[in-house]
Amino acid sequence: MADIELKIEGLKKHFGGVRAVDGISVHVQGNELIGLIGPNGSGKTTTIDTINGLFKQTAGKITFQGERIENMPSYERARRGLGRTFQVTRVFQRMSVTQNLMVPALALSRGSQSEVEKQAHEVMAFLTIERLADENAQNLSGGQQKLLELGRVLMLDPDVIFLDEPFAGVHPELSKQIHKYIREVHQDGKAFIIVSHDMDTIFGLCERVIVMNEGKKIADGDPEAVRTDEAVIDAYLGEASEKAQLEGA
Amino acid sequence: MKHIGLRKGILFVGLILGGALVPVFVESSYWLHVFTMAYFYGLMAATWSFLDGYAGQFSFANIALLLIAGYTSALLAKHTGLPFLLNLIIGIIASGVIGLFIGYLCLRFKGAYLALFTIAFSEGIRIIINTEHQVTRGPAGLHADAFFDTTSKVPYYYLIFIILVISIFIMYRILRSKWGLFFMAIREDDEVASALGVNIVRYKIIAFVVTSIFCGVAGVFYTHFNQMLTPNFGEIATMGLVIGMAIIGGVENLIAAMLGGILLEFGLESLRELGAWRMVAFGGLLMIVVRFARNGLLAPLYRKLIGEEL
Repeated sequence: MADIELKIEGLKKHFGGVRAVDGISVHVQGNELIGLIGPNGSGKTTTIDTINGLFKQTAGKITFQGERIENMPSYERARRGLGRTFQVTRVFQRMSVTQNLMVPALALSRGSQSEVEKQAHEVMAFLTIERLADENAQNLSGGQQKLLELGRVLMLDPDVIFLDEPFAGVHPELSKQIHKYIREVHQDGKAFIIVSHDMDTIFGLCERVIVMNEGKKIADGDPEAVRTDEAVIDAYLGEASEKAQLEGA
Repeated sequence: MKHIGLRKGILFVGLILGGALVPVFVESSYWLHVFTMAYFYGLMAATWSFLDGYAGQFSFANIALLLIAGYTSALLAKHTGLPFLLNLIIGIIASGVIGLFIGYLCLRFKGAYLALFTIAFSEGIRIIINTEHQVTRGPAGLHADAFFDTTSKVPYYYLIFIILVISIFIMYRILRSKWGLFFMAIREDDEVASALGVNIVRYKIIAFVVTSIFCGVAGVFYTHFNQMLTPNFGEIATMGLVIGMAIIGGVENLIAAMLGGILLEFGLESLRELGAWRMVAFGGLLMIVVRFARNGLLAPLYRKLIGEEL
């Protein structure tokens, strides 16, 4: 596998007067396991939406494996090796679990329908959801839908995987299971960028943590350094103290 | 899985054999005409199922595309010395090309906006045909040559029957291929489909073009079967009828939608003595189905009999 290199330079995404992402630069090299955290509304999800092509950037450059991709549609970025899940789970509700899983592999022409179906069953076995193969996705529980989204990304087999709030609203046991899957896939050489509100999870799982606040990157480094970073403490404690003041009022 | 294949085989072979034997048992010209029109509506309902039920593109353009093919074919026959078959093919291609154009223009539209756009397009086509009477003979309708030099309905019956079987077979194969999966993924959530590598522009356009081609096929058949085409047929009510047929059958199942078209045409014909009230009954049935049976009346039956969605 070629070395992974994703370079984001001066990325901006503005909605009218709202600067949701305001000049983010990040360099991902190799199969890094990166956590992207920040208070509510700090621009985390908009950043990955923009990197993946869901939104057109206001300014900035995105280079993946030496190729500029910021003007490509999202399917081209997916085909080049950027995969993602969504903050609010977005499975194909009226399609079966197997069909959900087959879509990305067929889109990338990873074999005939029967070969891809076989791959889908392997992924279902890995995620222990094989018994749900023929079930419509709308009948799955929230946690099962999270696993299905993860499975779809695995079927896409990208080099960089963006997971948006993979642990939100998930039972602690399932959360442990997702941790395990992330570690195993990471060991296979994939890079991860995981967006989460859950700081403890991110600090326990990731080897590099990026912190955003008000659309800007305020810290980037190893978990220990970030944990003690004054700007980070200020961003989080600032939010906590405002909340306390509001509750007091 | 083997059982599913077997059941499906029995159903399909049964339908084809049953259909092929109809003229042996039905001698009435009137009823053969009804059968022929029922198959025509079955095909139109299937085209709507293909585009809306699978690809999620709520379009009102199907009947306008039918008019385009029919008028193109009839006008070519009137003004050029081209062979009859070539006129039909050009008519179908014209419908496909316009479908490509609409598909491209509608790429960013969803739901009500797509519906409104295609209503505007359809009304535009109908009004142009109505107004340009020097070319189209306007509301008087355009005469078209017959397919066969006979007054018998039997050749027409077999022609539409073969057209229906081949059209449904092709659409079915497409829907069972990876294209069908991509259409459904686009229907469910096109942003997610794109994030998973599906070229949504390409597949939305393919869905429109395939639908347009089969509307074109239905259009040239209708024109040369009735030997007349009028812009009145392109009224929104006709499109509503086709949509209602597909929904009552089961819009997310091609076979059920087709059977919905066939059976409802028979139903409407049987109730002809009720006059306008039969359409009220049709509307009532449609409302009941939309409210209580979202998958239509025949799609659940198909699932129960066969053991899978399609």
